[in-house]
Amino acid sequence: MPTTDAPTPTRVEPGEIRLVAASRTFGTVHAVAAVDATIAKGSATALLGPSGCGKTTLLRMMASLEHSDRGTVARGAGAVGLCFQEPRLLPWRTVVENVALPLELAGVARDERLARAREAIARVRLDDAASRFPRELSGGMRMRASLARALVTRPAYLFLDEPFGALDEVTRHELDEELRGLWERERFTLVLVTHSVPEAIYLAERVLVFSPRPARIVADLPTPAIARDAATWTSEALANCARDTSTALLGGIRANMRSSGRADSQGPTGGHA
Amino acid sequence: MNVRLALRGAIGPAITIAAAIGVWALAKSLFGIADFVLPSPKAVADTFVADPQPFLIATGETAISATIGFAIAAAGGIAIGSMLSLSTRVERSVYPITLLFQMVPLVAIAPLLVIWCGYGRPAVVASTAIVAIFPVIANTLAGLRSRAPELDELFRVLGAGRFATWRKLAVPSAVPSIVTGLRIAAGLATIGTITGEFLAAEGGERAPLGIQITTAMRNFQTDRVFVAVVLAACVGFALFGLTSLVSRAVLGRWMRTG
Repeated sequence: MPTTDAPTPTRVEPGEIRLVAASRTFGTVHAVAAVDATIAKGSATALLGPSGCGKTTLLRMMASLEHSDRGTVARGAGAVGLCFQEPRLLPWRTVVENVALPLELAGVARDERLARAREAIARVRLDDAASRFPRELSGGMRMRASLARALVTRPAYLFLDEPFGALDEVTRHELDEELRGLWERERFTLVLVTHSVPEAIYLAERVLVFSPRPARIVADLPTPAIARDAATWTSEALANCARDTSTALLGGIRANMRSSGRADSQGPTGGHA
Repeated sequence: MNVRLALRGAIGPAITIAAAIGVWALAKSLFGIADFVLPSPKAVADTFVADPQPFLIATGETAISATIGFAIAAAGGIAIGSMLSLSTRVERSVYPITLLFQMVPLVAIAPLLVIWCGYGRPAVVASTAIVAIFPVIANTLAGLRSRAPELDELFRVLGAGRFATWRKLAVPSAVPSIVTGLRIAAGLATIGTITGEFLAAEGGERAPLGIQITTAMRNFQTDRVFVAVVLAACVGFALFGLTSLVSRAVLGRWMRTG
């Protein structure tokens, strides 16, 4: 069953997302401007852009947490998993109880939901911490628990809003690797918001680069398959891709500054590969 | 380990109480204060030891009234607070009335309680509940209203309905606040009970502490007043301590640390 904010122009397949001139304004703030894109079933797409450009708003529109003022955002059938910037775990529940929450709210019987929650916890390698409370976990472990909760319903779509942004570099890379592995095994439609060029290239097959607010797509770049292999991080192909992505990101920012005449526009926050 | 910690925690209060009794005894002998104004600590203890039965019966009576009144305040306060949290319109209409009820002095309401409930336990229990219920209502309402908005959004994402969000998010989020309200109410309950007993309790063999205090006061038996006051404090302390113990067990999930 497609989720739409206006009549769907064409049929949207399960696992697919179609944006047609999708726009969103909050009062006088124009957050998203006429974005057109089709995200294929089972693909991994990164939304990359400077802080406050509207990428999170666009992700929330895809997840049906925001509606579009103009245009359409159509999502095909299938369960949705969502990871926020913070883990959002319920402090009075253990990890397994937190992970089982979506199933509990869906009315799944206790034994079945706990079994499925334990299985999701195993998928993110958090087995040892299943009966611990969130305050007993490190930041990385909390994000794993949050990821397990998003995955417990076996979603067709997984939306991630800078989920590892607050973690240290080593933990972040470790979680990126695990997420990459999960996506390769399960092939849900992955849409990720990030500030990090290396993370976008590593996790996604395709990077949509956005201008400063209002968010417009300034580049739609495929990432080389070689980027999937951590051992080849220093390869020339990867460096070229990172350079192209960073160039597109900076180009979008400069174009926006020229058109709006804003000398104090924000710079990119993502690192250069 | 816990027993040792508890004992260590009790040392400070024990020293303070011992010091206060020492100052009391010293002041009595230094300034030659008359017994009917201030009896010595020993005289108070002797009065209790000489005939403990009426005091113990009175303590039991007061404790029963305080416990029943506190239980009514706890159940009623949580129910009213929960009801108010369901609708801002209901809260705006009803909350000022509960506030007004709290503002009116108990001594002004007591005659009405006697008219409605008659002399005896029902009026005393009612006065206990009236004094103790407000903090439970206020803390339940505050707890149910103060949950993190990002968790609300999480429940929306997960497709939870209004009742499921209330039951699985709002109520658990409110538990620490409700427990705080119950602890405050436990402290206030005995005050309500003793005041209620002053105004509405019956005398006789099973006279509660409030009656023991007023009777002893009229007869200038200040030592008996002191015994009753100390026992009333013990009832309050026991109710507060019991509530704190139960709270700690309930709050295990919220307070547990690595």
